[in-house]
Amino acid sequence: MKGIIFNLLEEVVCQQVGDDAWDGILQGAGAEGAYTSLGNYPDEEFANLLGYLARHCGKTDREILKWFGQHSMPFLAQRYPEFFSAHHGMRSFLLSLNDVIHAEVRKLYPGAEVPVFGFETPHGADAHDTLIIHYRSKRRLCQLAEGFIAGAAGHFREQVVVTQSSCMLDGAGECVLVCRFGKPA
Amino acid sequence: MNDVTAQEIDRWRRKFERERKARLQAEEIAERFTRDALHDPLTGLANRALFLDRLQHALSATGRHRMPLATVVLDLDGFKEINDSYGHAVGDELLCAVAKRLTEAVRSIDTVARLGGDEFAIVIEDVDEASRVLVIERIKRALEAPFLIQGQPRQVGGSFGMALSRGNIDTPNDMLRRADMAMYAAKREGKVGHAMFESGMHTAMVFRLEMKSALQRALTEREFILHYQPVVELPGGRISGMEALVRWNRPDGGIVPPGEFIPLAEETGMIVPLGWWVLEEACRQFSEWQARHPELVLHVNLSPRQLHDPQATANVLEALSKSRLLSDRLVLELTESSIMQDVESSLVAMEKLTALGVRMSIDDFGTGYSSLSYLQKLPVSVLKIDKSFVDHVAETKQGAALVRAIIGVGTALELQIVAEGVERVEQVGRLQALNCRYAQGFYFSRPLDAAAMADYLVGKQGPRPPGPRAD
Repeated sequence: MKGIIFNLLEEVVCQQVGDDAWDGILQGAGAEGAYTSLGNYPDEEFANLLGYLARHCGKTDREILKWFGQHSMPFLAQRYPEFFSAHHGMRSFLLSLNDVIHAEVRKLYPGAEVPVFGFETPHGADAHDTLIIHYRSKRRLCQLAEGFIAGAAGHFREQVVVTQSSCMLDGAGECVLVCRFGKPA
Repeated sequence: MNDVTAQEIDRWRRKFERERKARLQAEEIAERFTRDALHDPLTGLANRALFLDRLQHALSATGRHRMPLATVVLDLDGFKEINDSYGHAVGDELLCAVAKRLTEAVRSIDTVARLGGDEFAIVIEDVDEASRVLVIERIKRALEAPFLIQGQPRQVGGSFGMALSRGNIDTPNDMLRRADMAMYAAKREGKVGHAMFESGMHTAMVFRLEMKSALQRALTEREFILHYQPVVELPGGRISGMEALVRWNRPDGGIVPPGEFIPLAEETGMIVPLGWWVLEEACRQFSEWQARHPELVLHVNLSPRQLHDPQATANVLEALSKSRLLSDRLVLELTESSIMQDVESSLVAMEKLTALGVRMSIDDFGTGYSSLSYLQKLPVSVLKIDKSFVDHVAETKQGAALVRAIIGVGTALELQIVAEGVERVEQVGRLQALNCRYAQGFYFSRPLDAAAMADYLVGKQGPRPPGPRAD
């Protein structure tokens, strides 16, 4: 996994939990903690850190991933404002994931293994406010994706409700995230 | 309080340590990226970008210290064939082997680069005359030794060119271009060759390029004209035929001698359309004279590319039918060396043409190492003795003996013998004494334009008086 994710995790933990917490988590997880954005680090190390963080915060592994995704979005928006400024809303932002955002990520971070999303718009009445996202990755980090979506909604000041109709963590072949958008009242 | 401070100090120390290590990692990664961006991933050699950079540095140093600097450019012969027949994996393996040998052939301070495909380049700094010779030898040896291709030793070979700067060349591209020119000069010379860039080369290349486009234009603009040189009968000097010779009449004035544009036309393939135009025009012009001089024959040169042109028979037939010239009035001349390039296929192509009724002639005979057995097989009826033999026929016994032998062979094979390049009266006498039946050369007449030839034919510009009888 690319160092940038570890950097984000550090930023989120320091901001949301405190500087001391990150030091404690690293020690607890037995991680050296020297991460540079372009470096490659074992996926297990990320899982260990999250596991320790989950216990530290009293959350489940799934909850902590989502929490991380959601709170990392402001940091991403700060680092890569151009990915966000091109869009007026969630929907077009999400639809640019494969072709724009992840294409750029691959350029910025050579060797990055990014997931490829499948997008589907249901027919009928739901067409405008619903987007179905198919997620498939050997890392099975659908909760992180869900957190990112929630974080992006915060950025665009929209409301989104994400439900998973199937999940790889439950043995499904892919995760299906159904996003329902709505402007805040 | 003290405890807290100690913990904090500890945390800061750890944080500082993490940041230091992350920075080191970042530097390493940056270094790797730079290396990847500047090196050829296959061979690990410098890539073009790094090569140009090193060359730029070396050129600046040469400018400052006046140390000569050499650049070598080389490519492999037949690399494409190897790639095509054995696959890219084998081709890649070969490139790596070449890279290794080249690296071993030069000093560690010299930069060996792969510029792309099978093209390599080397910057060699501070080379004196002796080390230059040594480097050339080592590169040559590196290429000459067979390479193992799928376990089988195979000769690969390559051509390379070297350019040298003693502070007189400013840009890497200029240096590369000169080395390239030297390499192409080497390629023209043959396999596993090398050449040094010489100052004339650039001018020569520019000249060639200019000539090439001018030739192309000349073809469409019809800047070519034909001259005709009489072939005469001995003794007596009566005209028996004529050879059509192409001249290039450039619009800026000045006639370009054929020696300057024919080789270029050969090389570029433009000789094919040019040659067919010459045939058609010569037939057209000659047929005008034929009515009053039915005994005359027309000699037209045929390039090897024309001979092997799939359209050859059709083109000859068309030239004949357009001009209504009888086929036995046409003699197509091929140089001995061009026939011998690929004698078997020449034989087949020549037979197709003789089937039309035209006759074939061997031009420049004596210079092309043809064996007598082939001479017997070839469907030729005329043999032209090269000027280099005729030059000596009246000068030395050996010269005369050679011409006598050629005439003897030709006569035995029932060929008509024409001596080319006859310039002096003594030569005429000697040739007559040797029973040479036909001759051509400045002594009788220089090549004439169509108007002058018309005058010549009606006797206004009469034939030379015959040479003295043999004594």
